[in-house]
Order: sequence, then C-alpha cells, then structure tokens
Amino acid sequence: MLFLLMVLTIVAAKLPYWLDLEGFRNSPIGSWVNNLIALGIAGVKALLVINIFMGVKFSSKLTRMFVIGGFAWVTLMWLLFADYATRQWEPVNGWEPTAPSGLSRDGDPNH
Amino acid sequence: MATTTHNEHGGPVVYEQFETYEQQTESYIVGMWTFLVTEIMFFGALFVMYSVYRWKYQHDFYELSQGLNWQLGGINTMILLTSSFTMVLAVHHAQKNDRKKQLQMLGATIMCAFGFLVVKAFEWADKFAHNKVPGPTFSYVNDHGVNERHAELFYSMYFGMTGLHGLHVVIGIAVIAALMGLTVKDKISDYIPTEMVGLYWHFVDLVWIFLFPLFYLIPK
Repeated sequence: MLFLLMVLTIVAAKLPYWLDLEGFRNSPIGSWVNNLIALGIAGVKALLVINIFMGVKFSSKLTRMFVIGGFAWVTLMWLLFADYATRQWEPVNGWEPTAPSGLSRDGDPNH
Repeated sequence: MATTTHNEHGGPVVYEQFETYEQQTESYIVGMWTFLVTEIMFFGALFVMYSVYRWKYQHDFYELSQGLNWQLGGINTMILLTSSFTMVLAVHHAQKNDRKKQLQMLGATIMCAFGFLVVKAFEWADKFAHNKVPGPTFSYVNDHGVNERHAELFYSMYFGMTGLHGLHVVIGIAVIAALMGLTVKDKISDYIPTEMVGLYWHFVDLVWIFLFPLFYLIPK
C-alpha cells in the first residue's frame, strides 16, 4: 500500500510533464492541484505510518492524545503566514524598498 | 538499582514505581511520543520556513528543484519505507521473543539506512562538484531568470533539512546497533526498547515522506 502511494506521488507530480500538458502545468490552478495532490498523498502515507507502523491505532487514549496534540500544534505554526501575507499592505517608515537605508520589504537584497 | 532484567519467573521486570506491566509499557510509549513531539516541533519550524520562501519564490523554486535528482530521491523513499517495514517486523519478532529473527530484521534496517546514506552521498557529491553548496564558492548560472540569492537560499534549505534528516539517520544507525548489542548480550527483558527505537525510526521515515515531494517534486 505504501509503495503504491510512493509510486503515485511521483506519477502525480510527473504526469503533466509526461503527457506534455503545457497549459495545465503553466496555469496557477494546475500548480495548486499538483501541490494539493502531492501533499495529500504524503499525508495519507504519513497517516499509514503513524497509525499502523507506529501502532497509534492500537495504542491507549493517552498516547493518542500526545500524538494528536503534537501534530495539531505543529499545524498552528503556519499561522506565521498571517504576518508574511499581510506585510506588503502595512507600511512602516523607513522600510519602503526605495528608502535610502531601507532593507527591502520582500527580503531580496538584489532589489 | 538492581541490574537484573528478568523477574524470578523469567518474565520482564515491573519496576517499583509502576503498578502493573501495562502501566509501565504505556509510560514508556507516552514518554517516547513526548520526545517525538519535540522533534515534530523542531522539523515543523523548518518546514514553516520552507513554506514561506517557497510561497514567495515559487517560480525560482520550481526551476531549482529541476536541478535535484528525483529518481535518486525516489529510490531513497523506497529504501526508507522498506526499512520502516523491516523495523515493524523486528518489533513483531521482539514481541514473540524470537531473538534471532529480531536481530536479522534490525540488521536489515541498518543495511537500508546505510543504503540511504550512500545514495545521499552520491547526490551531495554531485552538488559539491557543481558549486551548489551555499558559501563563498556558491554559483548558480542559468538562463531561466532564477535569482542567484534565491538559489543559494534553496540550497541552504536543501542541505540544512536533508542534512538534519541525514543526521537523524546516522543517529538511528547508532541506536539500532546499540539495541542489537544489548539484545545479543541478553540485557533486554521485553520488546519495549525495540518498540522505542522503532518509533524513532518511523519518525525519521515520516520526515522524509514530506521532504521528498517538497524538494524534489515541485510543480511549476
């Protein structure tokens, strides 16, 4: 099962190349779909490893609480994007890309 | 503390702070998971950092991921999944108290781990040979409009994250080898140490399951 998913990971990522779906590959939707599929399959693989290999499915409720707690907290880390996604709309004095000593707001030293 | 690992009936010892063997087992597993949660946080921070730059420089990252060898990455995923499976079998035989088969499976797991590192070594050697290691000698020449600093960032994360994962593999080899040594010397009374090492090993596999699509299979 895991190996099947493994093969599926690569096929899903490479299929648009092999079929030469230029339009799909270059569209933003294609990129989103591809990302979602790749990470979705990785997620299923991870669930199988956690539940069966690591035996969480057969373990005590206390153990499961630790496992779910750990993974739930780690997803909360992505709240960091609330900052990164809104920075460009929030002007700060001296931080404009054109300010004489200002560091570029998008962190690109070549700007 | 007494060094005996077996009780008077030849079964596993229940240490004095525990009421029952089941309670002792659960404590070990919850304790191990507590450690693994800290590891999840540790790698989680790195994955968040990766997400931020992937989101900002999606196009560059796509071009850069074309420079990684996804076939080798795929082979390594296969190797790690196989090693996880042999680890499950090792725990299974440890529960059945079949020392010989348990040692064989642990040995197979170590072989897979070395196989993973050999493939990784080839990959890294190629990057070293082509000045892809971040630092003063880094160079990325291309006609796809990829910013050289973004390239350096990508390779920093590539070396940092796969390197940290590789370090976990090396530690895994050492821990499995130690477990094999203790098992041969009959210093272990039940399957719990094997289960602990197994949990750690599966975690290492888990990290790679996400590293592989995130670095090697970036869509345009």
